[in-house]
Amino acid sequence: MELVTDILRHSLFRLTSPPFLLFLLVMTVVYYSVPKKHQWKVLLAGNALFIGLYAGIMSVWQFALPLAVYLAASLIIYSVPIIIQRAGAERKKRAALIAGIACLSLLFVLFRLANSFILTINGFLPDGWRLSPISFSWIAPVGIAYFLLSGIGYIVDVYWEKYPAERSFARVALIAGFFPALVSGPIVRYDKISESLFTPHSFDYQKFKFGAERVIYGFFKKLVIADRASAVTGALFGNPETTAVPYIFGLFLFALQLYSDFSGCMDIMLGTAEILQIELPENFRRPFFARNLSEFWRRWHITLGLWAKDYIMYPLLKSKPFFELGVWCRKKFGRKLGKTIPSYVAMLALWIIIGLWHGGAPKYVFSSGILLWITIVGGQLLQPAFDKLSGFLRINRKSGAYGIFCNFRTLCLMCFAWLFFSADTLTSGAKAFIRIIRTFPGDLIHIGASAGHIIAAFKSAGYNLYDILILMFGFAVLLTVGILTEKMGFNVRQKLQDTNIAVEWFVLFFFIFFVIIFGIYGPGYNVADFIYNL
Amino acid sequence: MTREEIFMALDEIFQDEFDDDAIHVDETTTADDIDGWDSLEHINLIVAVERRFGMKFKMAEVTDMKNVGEMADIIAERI
Repeated sequence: MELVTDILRHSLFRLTSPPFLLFLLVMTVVYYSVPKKHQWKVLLAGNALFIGLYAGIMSVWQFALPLAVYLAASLIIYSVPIIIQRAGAERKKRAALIAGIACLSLLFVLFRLANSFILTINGFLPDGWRLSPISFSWIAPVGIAYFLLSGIGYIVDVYWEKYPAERSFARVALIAGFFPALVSGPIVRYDKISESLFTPHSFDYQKFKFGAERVIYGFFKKLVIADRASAVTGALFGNPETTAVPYIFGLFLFALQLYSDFSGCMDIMLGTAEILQIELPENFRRPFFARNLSEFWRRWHITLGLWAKDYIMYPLLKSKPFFELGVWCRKKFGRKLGKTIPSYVAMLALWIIIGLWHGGAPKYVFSSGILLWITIVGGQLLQPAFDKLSGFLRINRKSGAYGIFCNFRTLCLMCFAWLFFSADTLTSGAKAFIRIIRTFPGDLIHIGASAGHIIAAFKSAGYNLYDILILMFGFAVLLTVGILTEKMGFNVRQKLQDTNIAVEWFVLFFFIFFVIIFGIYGPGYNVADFIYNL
Repeated sequence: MTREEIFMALDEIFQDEFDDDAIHVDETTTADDIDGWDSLEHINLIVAVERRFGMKFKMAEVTDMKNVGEMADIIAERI
């Protein structure tokens, strides 16, 4: 007992720390014990508790201010659609829409972008003129970047008359801050999620088990793989002496780390929602099986891509200025370009907004925005040339080998973007890139030295051969589950249940103990934050 | 404009957008039936239809349309 209280006292409230498991347990018990018509109120209380606990309990302010911001944002998200619905004239509806989006965007700029902007501007200012960063971030509720996007989506949906505005503030507040979607998304749609949120649910052992299995798998991804890889990638990227081959190795390892981190978080959250029988949209669909970048973005952070399509891309391309741009381009450049130029301009706007959303720093606008736009548009423009080339080389595009080549090419392009994403600043990313080019030929000659450098990075992280083997095992598990699901159409959890009960429980306990024994924990049982925790 | 005429005009638009003269659409055609009808092509198609018929789709309709038949219903209602 003493050990348990000791763990709880010393842990931060994070998804992979013991207090969250306790929170989840209490939530589940209370949720299924209260009369069914009150179940959603339990979730609402859960939201408040989750936001407060996540912020911290060192002082009342630390706990309460983020809650106040969450309630204020919920109030905007609640009232604007009602104002839009009640306004008679289109002009008034539009004004309310713009005001609503502006208020929510202002909150985002204040809490997420202000400091990045100040730091970026400071880079250009002489000593003595630099602005001091204003730190509002500690009063921002967890996941503000995600629930503001969902909220904007809801306001716009009501403006488009897709569905009527919700009349109860408490219900809007529940959807806005639904805690399983807070830490790293998914970005929810109000009409879709409300169906399962406000329906009564009886405890269902099957769903509970499947949800719990998914939570355990998420823990495995995050604690065994992502947090183990992170010390190595940190050592490789942080060392200015790292040459080409070790750096490239680090980037591939970072791909594994980022995927395990982000999709592991999704597994924990979607598993949690499944335990409570709430349907959340999937955010990942085995992204590394994508053959090109556009497909990658339909499989990675899916809800962000869909949000950007519906609320940025479509309205832009349907707007009058873009219509006129299309007409002008048709006259000037012919039919084909007349169609594609407006799409490319809209895509640029979309990627810049997505880049800004990742954080105001130039490295995000570049690596998660403009660079991806360049590669997607460049790939489309060069497609005829690629077609000719593969015809000339007599490549069979239907062959499995070509498919794997396309998967690998997509992975390499993403690793190039992550080179900048993982760097401290855009400049240090560019420096690392130049260093990779410069040292690549030498590295190929002295391949032994490169391998030594990689091993040194593992050692400096305090790892030994076992850690390398555990990482390889983790990768093998991800790959096997990926291939079974993607290529063979398996539902892994269902298959596991269909085997005999001894095998099922053996696998379950194997993973539970594997996470407990081989998970990476910091001092005081604290765990690392999620990379995508915006 | 009769329903047949609407579908004839739609055929032309689809053939033009997808660069394929063999395309013919009917009431039940969906994005799954036409190669290359992805989310970007969808909005380009919508804009092309709006231009051809001189009408506007509501944003909610753009994402909620189930097949070309529903598209024709909306066109018939607005021209």
